Amino acid sequence: MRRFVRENSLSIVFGVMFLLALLGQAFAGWYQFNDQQLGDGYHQITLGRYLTSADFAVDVTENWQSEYLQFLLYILATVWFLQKGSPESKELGKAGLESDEDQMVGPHATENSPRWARVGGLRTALYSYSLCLTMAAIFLASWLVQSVAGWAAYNETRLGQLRDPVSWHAYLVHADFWARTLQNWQSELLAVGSMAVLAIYPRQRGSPESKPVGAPHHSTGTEG
Amino acid sequence: MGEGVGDSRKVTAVLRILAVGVTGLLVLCSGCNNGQEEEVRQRADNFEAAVHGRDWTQACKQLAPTTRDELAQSGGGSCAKGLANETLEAPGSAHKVKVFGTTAQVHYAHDTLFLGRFADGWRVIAAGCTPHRNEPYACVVQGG
Repeated sequence: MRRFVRENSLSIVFGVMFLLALLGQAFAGWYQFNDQQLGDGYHQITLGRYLTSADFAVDVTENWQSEYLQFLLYILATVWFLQKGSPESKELGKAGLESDEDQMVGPHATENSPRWARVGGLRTALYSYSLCLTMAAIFLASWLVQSVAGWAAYNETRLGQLRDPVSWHAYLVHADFWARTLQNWQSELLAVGSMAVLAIYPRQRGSPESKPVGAPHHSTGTEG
Repeated sequence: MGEGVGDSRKVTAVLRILAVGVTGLLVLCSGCNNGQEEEVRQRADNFEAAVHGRDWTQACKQLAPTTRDELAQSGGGSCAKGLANETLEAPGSAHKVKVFGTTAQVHYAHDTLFLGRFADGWRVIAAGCTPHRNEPYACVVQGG
């Protein structure tokens, strides 16, 4: 058990922090929602009702979709685009999908390679993109939920203003949907872009996200 | 297969189940109105019936607090008197109910009502409303 925890501490620590942050968001969002209700002359709702409300769902999923999009784009972009001096980049001259030999697929797979990397054909092709496909699926699912929850939350506001609600299709091209979406996208793109560039000069000793402290600034694709 | 690889797969499997479960829950819950249409429709019908039966006291009981207060101001302290002074058309029978969270709208053939959910249930916020393009409806009766 202790060994399991030690060897998986990264995912466990982030999993626990995620749940604590989600719990904190639930309570803070609930108080915020009820404060708004009070100001508008409506009654306060229970935590249970808030957790099943469109307001909570849209606040959660608008961040989820952008995070998964961020990593999806980063994984894809780093296949073809390079950044000299960055540990986030592949070595210069290695842009592209690389050879089967480099990627250890088909006849170049080892006995420890995953089975789908060894078998060739459609399964190996699918497995070769499985990380991006998984990220893309979670991104699209989160974005879909954001669109439905955002639509319901926006219509709740509109009805409170004595205005007609809009259809889901109309909401998909509405400023509210795109303002929520793009405010998250811009911050995620800034974060990954600056990570790729900042990692050229500053260092974090011991982190694989950084170069070794003594590695030269022009060293590309080396991890500490 | 090494133990480390097996553990990683377990963690990945748990994370996938968690992600699918939470996403599924959010899909089910987001935008749902928890079957509130019937309660909303009933409250709106009660209001319309009381108004057209000229039972102003009963009609006032169907209103939201701020709407009652507004009518009481115009009725010299009495919501019933304030409501009696307003002209509300007969709504007609056909109606459509739309509920989003704590707010709702009921369309009749000749009237539109807006409702809100309060501690004691759904109440009418505004009545006798007519659309004004993309602007808020103009309502004969509404809260302050």
